Amino acid sequence: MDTSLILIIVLTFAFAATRLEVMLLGDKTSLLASLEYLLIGILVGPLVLGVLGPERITSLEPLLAVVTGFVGFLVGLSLSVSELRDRPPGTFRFALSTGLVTSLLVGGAAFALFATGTLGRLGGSTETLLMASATLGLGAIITSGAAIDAAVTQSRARGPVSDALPHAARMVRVVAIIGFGLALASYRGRAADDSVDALVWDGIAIFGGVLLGVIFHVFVGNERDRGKLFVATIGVVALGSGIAEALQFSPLFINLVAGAVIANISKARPDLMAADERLRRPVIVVLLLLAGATWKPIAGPLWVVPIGFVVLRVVALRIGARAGVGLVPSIDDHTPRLGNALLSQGAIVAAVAINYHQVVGPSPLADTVLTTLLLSAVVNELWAAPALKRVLLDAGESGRRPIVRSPVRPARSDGHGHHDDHGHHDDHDAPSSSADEGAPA
Amino acid sequence: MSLMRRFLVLALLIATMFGMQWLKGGLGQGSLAITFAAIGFVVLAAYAMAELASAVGLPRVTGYIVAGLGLGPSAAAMMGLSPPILTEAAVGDMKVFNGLALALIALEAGLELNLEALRRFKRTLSSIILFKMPLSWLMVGGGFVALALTVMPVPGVTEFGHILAIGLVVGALSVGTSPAVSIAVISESGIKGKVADLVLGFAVFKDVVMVIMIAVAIAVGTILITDGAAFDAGPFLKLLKKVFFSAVFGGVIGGLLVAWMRWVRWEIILILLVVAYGVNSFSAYLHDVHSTFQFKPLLLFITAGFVVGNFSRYGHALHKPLGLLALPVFVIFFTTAGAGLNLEATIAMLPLACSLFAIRALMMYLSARWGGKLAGETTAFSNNLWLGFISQAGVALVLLKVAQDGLPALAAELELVAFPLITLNLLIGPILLRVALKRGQGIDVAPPPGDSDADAGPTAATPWSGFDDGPIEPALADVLGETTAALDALGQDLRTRLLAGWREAGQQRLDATAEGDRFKPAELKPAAAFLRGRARKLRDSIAQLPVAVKAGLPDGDLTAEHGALHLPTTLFRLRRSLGKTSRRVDTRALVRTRVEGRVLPMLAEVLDRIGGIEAARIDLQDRQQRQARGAARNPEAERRELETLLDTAQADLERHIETTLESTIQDVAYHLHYAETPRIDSKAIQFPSVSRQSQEQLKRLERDGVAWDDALAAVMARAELRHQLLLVEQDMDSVCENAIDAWSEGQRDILLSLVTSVRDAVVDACAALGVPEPAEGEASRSGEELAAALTSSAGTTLEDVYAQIARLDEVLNQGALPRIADFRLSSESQGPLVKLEQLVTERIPEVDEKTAIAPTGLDMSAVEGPETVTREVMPVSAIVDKYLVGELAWSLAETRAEDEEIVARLEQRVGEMAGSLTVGLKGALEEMKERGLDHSDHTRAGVAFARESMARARRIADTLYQSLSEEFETVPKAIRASSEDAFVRIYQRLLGEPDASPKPQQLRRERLRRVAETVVSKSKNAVRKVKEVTKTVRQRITGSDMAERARLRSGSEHADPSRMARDVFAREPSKDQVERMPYVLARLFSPSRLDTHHLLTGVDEQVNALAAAYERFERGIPTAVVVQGDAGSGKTSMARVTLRNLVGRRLEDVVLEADHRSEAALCEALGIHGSAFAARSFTSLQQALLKEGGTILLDGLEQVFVRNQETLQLVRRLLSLIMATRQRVFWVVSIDEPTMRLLEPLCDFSAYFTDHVELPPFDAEQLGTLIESRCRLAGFDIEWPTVASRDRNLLLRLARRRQTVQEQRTRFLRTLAKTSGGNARDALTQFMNAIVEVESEAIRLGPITVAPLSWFDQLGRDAHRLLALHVLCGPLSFAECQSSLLWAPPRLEAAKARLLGAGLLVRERSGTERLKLRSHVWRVVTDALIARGELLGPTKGGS
Repeated sequence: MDTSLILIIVLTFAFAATRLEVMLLGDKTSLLASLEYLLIGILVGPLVLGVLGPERITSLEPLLAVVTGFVGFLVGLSLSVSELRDRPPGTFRFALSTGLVTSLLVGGAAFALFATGTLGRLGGSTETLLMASATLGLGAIITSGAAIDAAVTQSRARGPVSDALPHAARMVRVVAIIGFGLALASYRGRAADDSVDALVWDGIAIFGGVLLGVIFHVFVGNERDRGKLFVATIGVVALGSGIAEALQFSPLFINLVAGAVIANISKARPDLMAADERLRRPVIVVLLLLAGATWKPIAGPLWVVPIGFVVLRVVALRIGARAGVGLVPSIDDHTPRLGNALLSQGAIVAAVAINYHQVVGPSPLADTVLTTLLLSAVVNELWAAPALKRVLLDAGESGRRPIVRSPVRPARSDGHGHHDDHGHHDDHDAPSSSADEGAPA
Repeated sequence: MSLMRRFLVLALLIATMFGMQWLKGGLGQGSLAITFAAIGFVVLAAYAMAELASAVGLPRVTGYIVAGLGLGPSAAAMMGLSPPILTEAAVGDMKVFNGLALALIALEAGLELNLEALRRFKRTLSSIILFKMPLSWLMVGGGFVALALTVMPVPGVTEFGHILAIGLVVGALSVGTSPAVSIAVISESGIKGKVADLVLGFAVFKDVVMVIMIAVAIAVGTILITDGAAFDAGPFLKLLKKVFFSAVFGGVIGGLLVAWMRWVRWEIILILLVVAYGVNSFSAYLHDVHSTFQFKPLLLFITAGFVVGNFSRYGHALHKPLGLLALPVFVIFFTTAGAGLNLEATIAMLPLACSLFAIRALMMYLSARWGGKLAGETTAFSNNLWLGFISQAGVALVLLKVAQDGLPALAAELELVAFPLITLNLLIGPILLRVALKRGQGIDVAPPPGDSDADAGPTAATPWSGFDDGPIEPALADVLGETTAALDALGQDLRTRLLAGWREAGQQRLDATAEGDRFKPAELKPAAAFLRGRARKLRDSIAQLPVAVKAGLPDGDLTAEHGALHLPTTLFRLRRSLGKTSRRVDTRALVRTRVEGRVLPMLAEVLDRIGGIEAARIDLQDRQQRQARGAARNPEAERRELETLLDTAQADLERHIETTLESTIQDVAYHLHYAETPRIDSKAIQFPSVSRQSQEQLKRLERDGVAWDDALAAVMARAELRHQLLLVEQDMDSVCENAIDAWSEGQRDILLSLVTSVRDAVVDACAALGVPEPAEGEASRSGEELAAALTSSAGTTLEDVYAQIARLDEVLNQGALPRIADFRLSSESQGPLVKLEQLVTERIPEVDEKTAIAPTGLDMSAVEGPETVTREVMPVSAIVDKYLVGELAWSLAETRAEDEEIVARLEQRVGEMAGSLTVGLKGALEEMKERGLDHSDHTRAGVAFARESMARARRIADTLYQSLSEEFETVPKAIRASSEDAFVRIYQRLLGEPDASPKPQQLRRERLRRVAETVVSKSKNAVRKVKEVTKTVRQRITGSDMAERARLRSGSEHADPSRMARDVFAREPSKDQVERMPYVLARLFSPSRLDTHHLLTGVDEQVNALAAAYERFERGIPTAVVVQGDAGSGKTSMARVTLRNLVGRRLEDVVLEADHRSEAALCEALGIHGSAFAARSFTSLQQALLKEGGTILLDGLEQVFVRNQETLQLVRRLLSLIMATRQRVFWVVSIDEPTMRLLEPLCDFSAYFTDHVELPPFDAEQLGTLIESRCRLAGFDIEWPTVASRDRNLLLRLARRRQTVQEQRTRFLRTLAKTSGGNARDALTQFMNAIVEVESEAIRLGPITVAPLSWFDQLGRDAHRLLALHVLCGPLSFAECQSSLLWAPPRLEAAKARLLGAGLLVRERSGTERLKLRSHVWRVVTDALIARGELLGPTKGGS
């Protein structure tokens, strides 16, 4: 069957699944989250049914890069300086210190494990091992702001912790993606057989993102034509992802920079956010499906890494959060398990894992990193929400927000309650920020 | 997107792609990654290119194709670029979109196919295709054969059979027109109409034809190139099957799409993708596995689109998602098509291709011409239509591929010949199509025969136009006669009763004596009832006609105008040949249809026209009174104008009625004559076809009568309201003028004559005492010089002095002063201005609370119905109250207060003069006598003192007269301006008048227009633009304030005085700016008017301190207060207002000037009442003050001190006086900061005062309160600027992109506080400068711009010192400057000239030699001097 047709079928499935999920579960999807799509991906992948064979997956890699790039673009679009200024005081310090401590602990432990050869020879050079460790370290700090938003809303929490956590999660996420993008560019610089310094490759990656943002801005100008915005978004994301794929950069990172530039210099941001809103979920579903299909089981002893990662991440996050609170006591000084609030990882971690896997190429080490991050995403998704609610309860912030009901019911176009003339569906029934980094939760 | 932006995008994209390829180096990533990058690149670059094409008038599709051509591998190979931006692999990969694009194109083509339009154009369509099929083979195929055999042989093709086979294929291909290009160009141009419909219809149907022709060509070609091959009908059958299955499947898919949109409807885009890819894949699958069951996706999608578009209501809903999806897909498709072209082959075969292109174009022209003629199209239309058929694209390429597969032996040759031809068609076709569409708009398209003509207007070209013969049949002739009679009766009624009555009523309005009656409109409700009645009467008349009449067939060849294929004609001929010679005419229905279809709309139109004319008449009357505002009216001319309007309208209406009725009679005659023949469409004489329309017209008549009355009432309300307001304005004007006359006669003239008498008395006294005449420069003489001059003329005795004192006493103390005091008292209670205030308040009219008004400026010529007369309910009473009760009354009260102040000041000055010349002079002489001088010395000193006093009094009297005259000038001006301003605003707000002072708007529009013209002219030449931009950037960098400041400060550039003066003047509000502001606002924001209670915002602390000090003084504690602050900071105003509140009129407000630089003059100024009048020395003044007590506000102390020993001594003695008298006198001394800091170490200044009140600079919030309170007082809101000048910095702008109003306010005020240094006067000035526009109720502000005095250093140190001297001492003469600075005259002259040139120094008053620092730069100059160490700064002073 034609690859394009398979792709269309996958896309249709993604949309249909999203639709069904919203119809059946509404906003109660946090329990299942990304798990089901990853599992479906594994099911249709070469391991089980073989609908998506290895060749097809290889031929779909650029598309995966585009999807990843789109996720990065969406994250970048949310980075408006004027909005970031509204964050609660001290959030940035808290986020940075938590992220730094956690990533150093996890990344350091991973490097120690890989470098000592305890698990046998997993990769070649030190750069490769460092890159894998960095990916795990940075992957460990990726936290889903949407999941936190959902839990805070459900708990009707209000207070410094509830205010700061979503912001902190989003900041840490951005820091992780930037760190990952720069690490990947440096790695590409070291791996490439040329005399150009790794820092220069970092600079090129950043410049590429900025250039794309500027191109978008110049291209769109002051026009708000929907068609033109659509063309510009497709063009910029495809170009950015293609460039990243060709140069072995991170499409996630380049498009994040482009999105951030657009968010801060272009007036098109609100229109873009609105237009891209309904593409978030399907894009994430495709990403998770393909991530599932790409996954390959790793050898028995190597399972120590994913399991150890999950455990170590919990510990490291607690330590990191304590360190963060130490710097910014105004956030909270009485919740010992504050780190548990940052457990949920969302789908971006899958994007990072896939991205890493694509650049480094199939190898036991890359497969291990992919498995580790995907497993972590799935496992953490299972207990992140209760853990977060417990934290909010400990902080004494649960139930402090009154239940506000809108006097007017949200408009529905017909008895089926989901459409308008433009094919918009009522994804907004779910919490509006639920997919801001693409988590289906 | 501007031209530059588009180029920039292209340049950036190309640079990005090259950069990527360069950086990619040897990484060896797969081509798919590059493909995705290429897709992104193509989407952006081709879109930008298309916008460029669009900007130069080409279709966007051409832009896509040219982008593909330019960026593709073929062009890169020709230019020697390796690797190309779009590699062949990438282009190949991108062709994955071709199937999708063709599906979308076909779907959209199907949607665009309008069944109704096809029905209408079926004859044209079929006729043209009929000609095109043989002509394409004959001309294009034959042309190719002829050329290939003679002058342009194709390489490698020599056999005739091969050439013929290629000719057949090329001929078949040349039939086609690209639906994709057609759709793209038509959608992009937005032009709809017959040309667009036909071109689209052709494009779709000719594709079907082309498929068949290609099949034929392949079959015949195979026979020609294969030895022994025979004709095989198999492929034709297969083709027919494919067409059939395509239609069936297309219908099914269309039905499924309809069902999806009906019941599911979500994610249409995705479903379209699924359908497009799914159908293509399924078709390919069937092609491989099934030989019978196959279909053509192109036809399938066309059918599907056709079904959705014509058999459901979802066609429109499908358009939007389809358009959104199609946009990027088309971009990629067309760009890939361009990139896939082989340029080398195209160029090599260009001569042949051009020849074939020309032949094909000729073939298209002839087909369209002949086909159009056959179908009855006009020649102009046919001559234009062929231009739309040229384009070819994807379908032609696909069919070429099919032909290559069918004739593999000729595959290469076919590509060689057909490819360049398709390329040319691809490039030129869209341009020609666009031309065809544009030209098609202007071509008069004849309606196809058989169209319903019931809607045709009376003036349209009709077959019955001029048909006067009438039917020959007597029965039909009777019917026509009765119809004619009924219509004539209707016409007569309309003319004699309706129009004549209306005209008569109009005349009565013109003749009406009462002004209000003149505006009254004719009542249209009765007119509508009348018209409805006539319509019913006409219907009744028609109802009397026979239902049907049997008549013979008319003579003449009724089939002449129809072709042989016209079915009704054929049937008619058949019937006639069978002997049928009679017909049955449904006369009643026919007449009713033809008459009602024309006459009822005419009646409704007559009503609308009358309504429109009435509205225009009242509007004209209103305009006349508007134009006559404030000017003499010309009733005769106005009446003539109105009569002309009515006469013309009546004549037009009569003509309209006559023409319509005449045309209707001809129409009825024609239809009666030809009824039941092929010439008449049966629908045209069936009443149901017009019955709905007739009912609607009758309802409209019923509805519009009332609606018109309402609309006209609104127009009349405007005219009446204006009339009423004009009367009020006239009344107000006369009241104001009367008041001004009374004031002039009763106050101004009297006071001026009093001042004249005072001046004359003083002049006489001067002459008697031998005081020399004032000479140029006298004012600048020092006290000793003056004394020497005064004592030099001997011969005057003390007796003479006493005699003059007695005379002056009589004139001043007993004559002028009591009269002025009486006058002042009476004017304050019952002066003309007080009466004016009362009268104005009384004359304010009582108006309706709310009225619906049709605003001024409504274009009455465009009024087509009552609904087009816009109305607005205006709060009349509130607006009149706001501007007359609020603004005008307040403004007049302010003027009165000003006038009273002038008189009070006059009284004070005359009192001072009288006191000093009589009691004061006498006391001084006595004091001298007491000093024990001998007689001669006493006489000399006394006479000299008297002469000095007289000379000073003469100067004061002159100045007083001059200033009084000037101040009195302002009073009438203020009264008239207030009244004018109030009424102008009422007209603007209430009647929607355009702004009476459109200066700023016009200027802005003019500026915008100039900018637009500049931009357009610049965009014509891109190279020049680049140069200009470069130049501009350089200029902006080198000409920026920062760069200029750096250059000026570094001394690398010298500022010329004109620039200096420009910068200085730019700090003041210009005259234009002040003039275009509303009067009240300008008054409130005049920086010289700080001394109102409105200033007392944000200075509570200082006010409280002053009040507390006064309280202590009241308790008997010796108290003296010094108020310090910058000039213009509001210190004196604050003290004055506070003290007035505390002590009322007992406040002695002493303003020292440069004249008071001697003990006598200073004491004279300070001894302003009671026994202190006589004091001419500090000793006597001290005694007098201790005796009298009181409150003295002393301002301008810095003017006394000229930085020499003498004036320092004067200041010390003054301070001692304050010290000695502060138990009885509450001293408040206001002094500028720099002077205070200078005096502090010289005489321990602050030690003499018990309280120190410092007026620090206002902060942003205080300034905000100050400004807003004044704006509120004037009735204006403030619209804060969205962008501050400082925020042009990109980063700041990014950070502050969206701001609330509060943030905008804060930002503006912070900037204002910074640029003004918190100085109230500077802040108000800069606020005025920042005003961009004053709207009816709001002031719109722009960013604050303050010219920096970058060149200040270049003035030189001497100039700085001279400036510092003026800062410290106020106005100074040349001699005073010289005595202070001890410079040689040339040096001082040079510094003075420099400062005068820069505009920093100005003359104190016209005619005087003293120079002073321009007040608007006082603060900034002071700061600059402090920074340069020329003045003591706060820290130094503090230490």
